[in-house]
Amino acid sequence: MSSIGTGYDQSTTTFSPDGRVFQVEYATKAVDISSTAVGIRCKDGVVMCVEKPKLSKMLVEGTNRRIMTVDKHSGICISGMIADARQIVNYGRREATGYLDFSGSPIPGSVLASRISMMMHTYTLYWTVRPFGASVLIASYAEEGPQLYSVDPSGVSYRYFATAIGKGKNGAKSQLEKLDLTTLTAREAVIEAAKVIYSQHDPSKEKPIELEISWVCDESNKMHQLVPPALHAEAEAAAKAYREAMDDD
Amino acid sequence: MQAHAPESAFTRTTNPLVTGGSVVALKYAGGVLVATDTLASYGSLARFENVCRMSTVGMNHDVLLAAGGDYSDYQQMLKMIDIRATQEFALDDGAALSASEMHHWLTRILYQRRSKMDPLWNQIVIAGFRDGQVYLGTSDLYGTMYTEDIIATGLGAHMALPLLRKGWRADMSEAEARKLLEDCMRVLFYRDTRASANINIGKVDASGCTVSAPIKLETFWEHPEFVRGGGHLGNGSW
Repeated sequence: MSSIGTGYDQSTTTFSPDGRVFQVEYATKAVDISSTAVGIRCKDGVVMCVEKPKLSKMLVEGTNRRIMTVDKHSGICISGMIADARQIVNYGRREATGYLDFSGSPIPGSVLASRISMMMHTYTLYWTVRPFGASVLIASYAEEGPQLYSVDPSGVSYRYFATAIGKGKNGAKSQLEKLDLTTLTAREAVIEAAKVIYSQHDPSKEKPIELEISWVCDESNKMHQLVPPALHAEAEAAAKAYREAMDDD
Repeated sequence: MQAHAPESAFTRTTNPLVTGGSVVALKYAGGVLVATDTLASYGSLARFENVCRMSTVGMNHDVLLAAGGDYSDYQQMLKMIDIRATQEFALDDGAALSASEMHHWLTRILYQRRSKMDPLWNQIVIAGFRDGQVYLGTSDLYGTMYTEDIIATGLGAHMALPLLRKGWRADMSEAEARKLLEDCMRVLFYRDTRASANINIGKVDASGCTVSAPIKLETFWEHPEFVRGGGHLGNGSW
């Protein structure tokens, strides 16, 4: 952060003289120091993968979920402050339920992403609240086909073929660019996503991690769920081997 | 009804509009069979002849819900269950409402709604199978609930229950149970002016929960008493 503070960083309601809202940038920083998460939209579905630091050996495996299901056909993957992000997920669930109840069809990814981004944006407008210290990836596979969105603390949302958030996002994005997303299947994307996460994780410097991988694709019957244990193990093994090969070079 | 209500009080829909008739259900050795006909009446008019009044519900579709009474209230009930099933799916903790839990939950809703003078105007039958246990229960629009081996709602409570009591055994085979159920539905079709000969049969057993395609009951109208009628008896009989 080049020009820290100087009195303009206390509230989201005041711009700095050079046109920035520092609180929003600080919130973005909270995401940029958090776990890497990647999302890949392929021809038959969407895959999301996130790393979770193994905080303790006594931690129950699979606890502290970072990927959550919003509706049957959509899910959210979070990076940043988990407690903040859980509010986003709960909001998404309410919106999805309300949309289905009112319109009779499942909420499209574009609508879910825009509802969530509008809500997150309102948290950058008033001094009584602070912005969300979290970004989310939104995976959806409804009538419009598989879609992937990303929403930032500023309330900006983009639709992607593949993207990453969190501390390894830059390296992860350049890895993702190498994939051919027109031919990749969801099953293959699970392996690739795990590899991308591990390529950004240095075991000599960082704590060990646990992966969480979900998909919503034809193979999962267009339901958003964690990938089957066998596929998860296969992806994790492939990713670890990939990392070791990387380190040997 | 509306006309007699005091001006200060507000009334809600306490009459059903489009209605389904009886639901008949029985346990047999290893499962449950449930029958409904496919008619939804508008008053005494046979308005919709091909609707299904039973559905597999819950996160895993392992609970059978059949209903008589207001058809739109039944549809609303299905919607509420689906919203809840989606919540269960999203929580992803492996838990799913059993038939018994579903029955208790729906009964709480029915009781709450009747206490608000805004009832869901239905008689429902719920069947399920979990952990080797068969479940069969019913609730009405007042929130009364019970479980039984044999259940019949609507006019069936008067006309089918006596037949079920006579013919039912705990160790019945599926074929025997199906025969008894069809006999009940046939009698109802003969005597209930809001019934039809097209029926759905739902089955719940260890392998899961299914609803059959509609089948047409065989009927025989040439009984002498049917042809002759009862008018000559002079006792008001038809």
